[in-house]
Amino acid sequence: MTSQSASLVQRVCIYVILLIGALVFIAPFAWMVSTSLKPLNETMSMPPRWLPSEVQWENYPQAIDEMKLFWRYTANTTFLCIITVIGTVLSSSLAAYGFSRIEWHGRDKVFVLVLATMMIPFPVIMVPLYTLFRRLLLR
Amino acid sequence: MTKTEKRNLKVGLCFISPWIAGFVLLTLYPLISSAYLSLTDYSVLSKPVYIGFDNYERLAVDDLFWKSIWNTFYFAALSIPINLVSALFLAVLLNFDMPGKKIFRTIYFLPSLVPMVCLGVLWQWMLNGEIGLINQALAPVCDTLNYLLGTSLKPPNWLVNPAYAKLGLVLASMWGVGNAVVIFLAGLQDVPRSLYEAAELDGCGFWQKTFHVTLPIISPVIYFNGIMSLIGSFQVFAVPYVMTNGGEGPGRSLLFAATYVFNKGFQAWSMGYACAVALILFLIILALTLLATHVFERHVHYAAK
Repeated sequence: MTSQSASLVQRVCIYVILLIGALVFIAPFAWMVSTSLKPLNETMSMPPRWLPSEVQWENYPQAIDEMKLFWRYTANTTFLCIITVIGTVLSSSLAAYGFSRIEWHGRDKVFVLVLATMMIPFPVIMVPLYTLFRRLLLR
Repeated sequence: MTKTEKRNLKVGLCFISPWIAGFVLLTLYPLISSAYLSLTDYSVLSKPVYIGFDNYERLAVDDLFWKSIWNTFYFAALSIPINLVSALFLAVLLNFDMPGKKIFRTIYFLPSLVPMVCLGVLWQWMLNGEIGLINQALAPVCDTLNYLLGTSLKPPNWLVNPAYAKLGLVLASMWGVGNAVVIFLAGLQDVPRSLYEAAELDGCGFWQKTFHVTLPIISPVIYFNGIMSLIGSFQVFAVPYVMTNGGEGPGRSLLFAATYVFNKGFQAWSMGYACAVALILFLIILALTLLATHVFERHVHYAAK
């Protein structure tokens, strides 16, 4: 692991640039949080303000209530996430071992195929996948 | 094949069998099916009807199709170099030894974790003409420029002005360079220190070190990030779709190829036509990737193992 060393002047310059960049990168997050705590009439005020005049923590429970099925959505997402992670880690580690540690005939060509599948835009397989799952689930 | 080779073949195939199953069921079958469907007239309510190359003849004269291709190329031509250069720039900066470098790396990587739908909603706000953060930041810049140069510049209304919609999208995609930065960082840290020291002994300054040591050694990483950027930027769909609430942007300026496929397939229900457009998109990406590989082959130096 190599990190570059630099003179003090260079380091200060780099630090300043990175600091400004970091503030720019964080700004959208900060604005999201600040807007989420504002009363409604302030969210679109001109000129925009960074600090809400009164911090409305009630916005969060209110948002969850308005979504009605929020806990259902969260449960769906969590279920999908767990299954995906387990499935992906299992399958990928097996496949990676098979491609890297075992020498078998035609291994490199199949690996190029694996990489090539990353190039297929989702819209190409989207329509048949939709039909496939529609038929599978309508039974 | 010898016995060991046969056994290795069996064992190897067993190990990748989950991938093979997924590939055949979820990639190969849909790909072939899509190729066949592109030769049919298929609305989901009725069976596909074979019509030969009609779909392709239609899309050759379809103005919207060509507009979507133009928009996609425009966006890719802008976002690929901008993202590559800024990711490399940030990675080089983040590679220096300094206090808080881990915090900086986290901050720059965090935005790439935001889900695409949230990105769409967030940037719909950020690019708003009056109250968006981007224009808030640009307003003083425009004011100073106007004062100094006597011009009458105004921050553009990003999502309403057709000329600026794609630029706004490029800005949004710049926020997500964290992924590429991390990969570049990994590549940069693999550069052997001895090479830098040798260059310093020869009297190289920072720029010479960068051009003659850093860039050649990380050229495989640049190539990888470039190809991933290429593939990704040609498939852009979710963020502009959410940003325009499912529309096509001002003057159809955010109508990308993938958006067109989606609209034709799931709104106009002409799935056969959608498959044809999607296949053309695939061929374009394939051709560009092969071209990029061929052109940059002699610039990419792989480290000897």
